[in-house]
Amino acid sequence: MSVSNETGGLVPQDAMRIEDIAADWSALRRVSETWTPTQQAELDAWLAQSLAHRVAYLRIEATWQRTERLAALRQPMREPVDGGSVPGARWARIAAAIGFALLTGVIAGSYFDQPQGQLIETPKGGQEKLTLADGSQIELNTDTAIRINLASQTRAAELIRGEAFFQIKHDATRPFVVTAARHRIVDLGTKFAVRMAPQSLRVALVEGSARLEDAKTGKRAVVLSPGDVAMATADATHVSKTSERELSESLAWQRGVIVFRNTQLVDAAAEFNRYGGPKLIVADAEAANLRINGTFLITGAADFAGIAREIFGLHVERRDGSIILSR
Amino acid sequence: MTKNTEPGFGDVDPRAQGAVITAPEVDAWFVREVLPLEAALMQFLQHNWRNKSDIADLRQDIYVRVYESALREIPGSAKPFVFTTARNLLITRMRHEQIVPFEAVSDIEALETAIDEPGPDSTVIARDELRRLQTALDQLPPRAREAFVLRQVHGLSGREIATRMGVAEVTVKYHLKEASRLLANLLYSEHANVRRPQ
Repeated sequence: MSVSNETGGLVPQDAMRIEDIAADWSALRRVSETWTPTQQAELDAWLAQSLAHRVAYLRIEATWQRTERLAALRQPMREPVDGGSVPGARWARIAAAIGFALLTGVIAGSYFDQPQGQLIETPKGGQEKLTLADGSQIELNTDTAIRINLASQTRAAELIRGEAFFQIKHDATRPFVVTAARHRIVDLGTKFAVRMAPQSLRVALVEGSARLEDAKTGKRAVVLSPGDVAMATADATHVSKTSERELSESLAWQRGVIVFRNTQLVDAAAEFNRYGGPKLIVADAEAANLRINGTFLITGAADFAGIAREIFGLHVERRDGSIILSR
Repeated sequence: MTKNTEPGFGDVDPRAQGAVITAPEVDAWFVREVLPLEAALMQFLQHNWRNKSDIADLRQDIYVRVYESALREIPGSAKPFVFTTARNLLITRMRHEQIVPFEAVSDIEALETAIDEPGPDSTVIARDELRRLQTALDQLPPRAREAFVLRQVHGLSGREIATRMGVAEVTVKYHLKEASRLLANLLYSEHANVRRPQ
């Protein structure tokens, strides 16, 4: 990686040419019916040659992924684009679909001074960091809804769906209470993450301490300390200790990545699908049970499918904005 | 069912321990924090460098330096880091080429305040994003736009696009390549796109 040096040595005067090659690779991957290990090896070799190659490729790929994410917001368009249709008219329909997505609303505003509480939502693929009037911070992951209510005596947030990371400024006279499903988390000065699933709630404590209890009765209370991960269902709360590394990996979404460790393909696909983008479908049980490791961008579903094809020899098919993986 | 041994999925050793910064993390950081600064960076370079044909290379060099540093440690705040890198590079190159454009020096000093200017809030970005993409797509040449929309919106394969457009697959690839390069500039570089909508 001797691309630049302290004396201002110049990188080769060919940024435009590098960009052209990078864009060519990106386009090639997207028109190829099959992507062979040899092609991947050639791409990897080119990327490894210089950081200039890598950043140029990253920029073009980011452009593709950015537009991919927007396609996910469109209305499903079932009608086939028949050969006789006028391109302009087709484009107008797409524009109308995008316009519709725009109207249906994306993110609520952030006004914390309203006494009845403020509802804040992120769309699929969205993430948002909120700073509250008391200096506490809440980071929302994809497809998340939360209602925040800061009053003079109390501080409360209700997680309605999704996943959030809380960094609470402690105030003994005004505890911060997070409710989610039928559970309540009372902050005792802390950083923690909460993720809702249909039947359970997962609370991971990073710093400080917090009490998890039944929201109505205050029963089944457990005090969590750093590294504790609590899984709470309607009838039981189970607490286990995780390593710092596992904890950090479960919070990787804050850094824009997903980490898989011996994860079943079907679970990995579900994880990507939380973020919108092209929908990953694992079509058969044999493929679903394959296990994978690795770190991916949250927008990297298409890359993921490509690598699954390469490593496991899976069949990858793109259809109607979905990516179907099968044996 | 595969009894799995680590298949080396992804391009990073999954067993890496501790505070190792993985390439996907730097990639994610670069895309999330650095690329959105591109319009401001381009404006800065255009104001401070006379020879416009150098600008693409300057930007590349800045990105390489920024990325290289991030592999060692991801900077806490991207904006000052990127602009400091840009300033240092320009100063080095001015010395190297023994030119000192007067306006360059004064602009660089003025930059210190510009760095702290807050970006538009995330709500505005989210609402604006779709409109911005529409505007960008409208600016593509018709054939490039058609290929791109068939691929990204309708999810058609290269072969299907070729059939529909009545061209060879290699031509589809060419259109997609051109579309992606133009969109990268429209979505990241163009200053007009940074302004907040009224």
